[in-house]
Amino acid sequence: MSVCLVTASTVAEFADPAEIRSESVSNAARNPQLGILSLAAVLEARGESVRIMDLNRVYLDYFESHSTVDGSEFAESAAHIVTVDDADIYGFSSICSSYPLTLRIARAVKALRPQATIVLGGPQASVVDLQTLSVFPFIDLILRGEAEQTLALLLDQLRGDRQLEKVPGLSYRVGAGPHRNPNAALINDLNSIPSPAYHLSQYLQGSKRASLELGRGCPFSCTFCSTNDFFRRKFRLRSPERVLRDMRSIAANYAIRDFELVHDMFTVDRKRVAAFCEAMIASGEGFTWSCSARTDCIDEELLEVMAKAGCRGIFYGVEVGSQKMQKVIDKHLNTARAHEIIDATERRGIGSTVSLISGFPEETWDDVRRSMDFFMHSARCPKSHPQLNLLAPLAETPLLTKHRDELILEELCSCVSHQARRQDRADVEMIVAYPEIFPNFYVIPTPHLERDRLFELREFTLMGLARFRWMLVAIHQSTSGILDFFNTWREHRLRIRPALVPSDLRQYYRTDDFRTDFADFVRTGKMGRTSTMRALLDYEDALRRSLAADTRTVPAGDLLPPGAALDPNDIPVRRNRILVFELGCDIQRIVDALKLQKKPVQSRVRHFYVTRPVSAASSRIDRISDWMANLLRLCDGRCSVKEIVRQLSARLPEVQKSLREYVCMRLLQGAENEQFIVVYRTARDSVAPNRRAASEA
Amino acid sequence: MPNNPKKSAPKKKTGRKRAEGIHAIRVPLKRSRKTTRQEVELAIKKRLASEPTDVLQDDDTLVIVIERF
Repeated sequence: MSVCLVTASTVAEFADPAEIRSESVSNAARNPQLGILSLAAVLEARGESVRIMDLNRVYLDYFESHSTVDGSEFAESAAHIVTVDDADIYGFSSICSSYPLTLRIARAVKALRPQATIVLGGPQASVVDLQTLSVFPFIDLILRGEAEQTLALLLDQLRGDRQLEKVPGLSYRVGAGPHRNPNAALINDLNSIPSPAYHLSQYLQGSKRASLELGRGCPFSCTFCSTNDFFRRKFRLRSPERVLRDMRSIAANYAIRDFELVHDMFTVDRKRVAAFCEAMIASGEGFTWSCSARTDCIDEELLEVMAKAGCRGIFYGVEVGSQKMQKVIDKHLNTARAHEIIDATERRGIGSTVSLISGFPEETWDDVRRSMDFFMHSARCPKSHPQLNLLAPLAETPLLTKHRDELILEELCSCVSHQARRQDRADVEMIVAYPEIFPNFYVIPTPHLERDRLFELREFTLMGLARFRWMLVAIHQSTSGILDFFNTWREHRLRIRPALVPSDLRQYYRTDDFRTDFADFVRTGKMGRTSTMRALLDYEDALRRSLAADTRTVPAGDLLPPGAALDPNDIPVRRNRILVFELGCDIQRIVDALKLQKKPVQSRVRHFYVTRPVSAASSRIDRISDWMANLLRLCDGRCSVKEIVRQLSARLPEVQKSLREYVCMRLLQGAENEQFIVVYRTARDSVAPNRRAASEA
Repeated sequence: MPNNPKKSAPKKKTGRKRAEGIHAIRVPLKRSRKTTRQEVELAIKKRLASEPTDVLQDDDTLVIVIERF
């Protein structure tokens, strides 16, 4: 029996081509879906014919070949690709944010292969199984919850006498109506599940990171969370030996040594976490990894062991900043303690993602203020990444059960479920018709919060953090708080750009207009007169000036391989995104003071900086010497090595004349090693000075 | 004319300002003596070094602009 497993789409339906090509979408598309990989491994071990169809890859390929994406056309196109090879069973994974698209593709697949069985699984279909079977006749079966054992049972029944009632966790139609078999038993021994079938996918090709399942089950019961519906509340963990075995296998096959260890709540059982860390340390492998944790299930001592064991990142779901709201959502974290844990995580050199959610019906602006205080506490830790998400009511959660009859569908979509920026029209029709199946696209009324203000706060924090992190920290520390400042800024924004509707706002906060408007707003206000803010504004200005003055040209000729001997006529040129600028302050001193919530000590010395790309979407600012800055400024694609040496030598009065050429050549070599420049060869018949000659000087 | 100390111009300070970090190393340099190779190498090493800061720059706009290059 041949099975085609189709992943849930996580990157589809973006309106803007730039977004589709962005780093965040690319990363999201590469994120492996462990459920599908695990099921494929189980089927392969049984000798079944199985293949995996990665919808994210299909989507990105579709976009590249069409240059535009129409959701309806994509569903049809994807169905043709999914059915290129015939299969007896098409099994679709599902998540809430792309459930409408999954259903549309499944409908198209059923039309193309009417004899095949369409099976849904995954978190979303598992909780809206009866509703889905009631209204979408092209769905044959839904396999709920963990399916490593039940999918095999289902295949046996489909191959045999089709006694579907014998498959636990299966939902199907009996007569005209849907029927639900009892839940399947949990898989207690997770070591019994084979390793993910990475070899059936392209996820790890060229990747620097791999996901591995560490365990399942979260014993907590937060009102907004749906994880308990799928993995239940029983905490289970794979053995350290088993995780290490998978890590070693991935390292050997894909040269990957960094792992995202997936578990809803890894640190619930302190002893087992410590044992895992000890095993990692004892292995001597030096693997690095990240995980998720609650701030009340971790302590300084454990953090130290985790850091030694290779932990480089922890996801903390803090959710809300006020004790009142902690109680309302049944999370019950002590927020003061959570602050301490974020700081302790930073001190251990571990990065943290601090997730906050706003938009709960009981929430007031005072609660939001406390969440924003938490947000800014995290923001002043360089390794910490706070997020403010808007609440989406997930199916079958206690929160939705309580507010089921109050749902509102409005333009302001939430982001907690990774929704695309623009919903396809066909999706919207389904969402409007079946709110019980797609509740995450709706909002629960917030009587104490204006939605448009909350929506803009989210955009402001997201982009403000990316572009003005230390400015926001400085503002928060020297005013009555970032929320008050945001309110003042918003009044100004409404005056200068009154026509922006919410969908435009998303775009606005991503443009240079926001950058300029906000910097001008800060500059002309009271805050702009403080020395810290002046320094941070100078930094913004210097960076913008450097960008505007970046008039490099690509010289004619061949690119030299790194380390090749240089010819006087060769032309060095700064690499893309290498910008040099000068400041009258030490930016790191300013940042260090903000981290400690102290007043910075001013420095009058000029400092030189360069932007160094650390990813496709962000750069780090590095301080460099005056010599290097002068050199890089000359590397504009117009000056030859000879010319650069001549000009730079004139700027090195403190170096003996006889040594200047040697110093210049060493600097050029260093700039190339640091990947600041590349070198083009325009004339091949020139002679020294080359590096060897220089090094012999 | 008698020297009136009150009217004399204040002495202009000379010499380099105290430098910091990677700027602290100056190649040589006393011109009265020959610079050693060690001194030069040390100075170059220091000037080649870069110091990472905690400032990250979102490049969404930068990337789009620079991609034209």
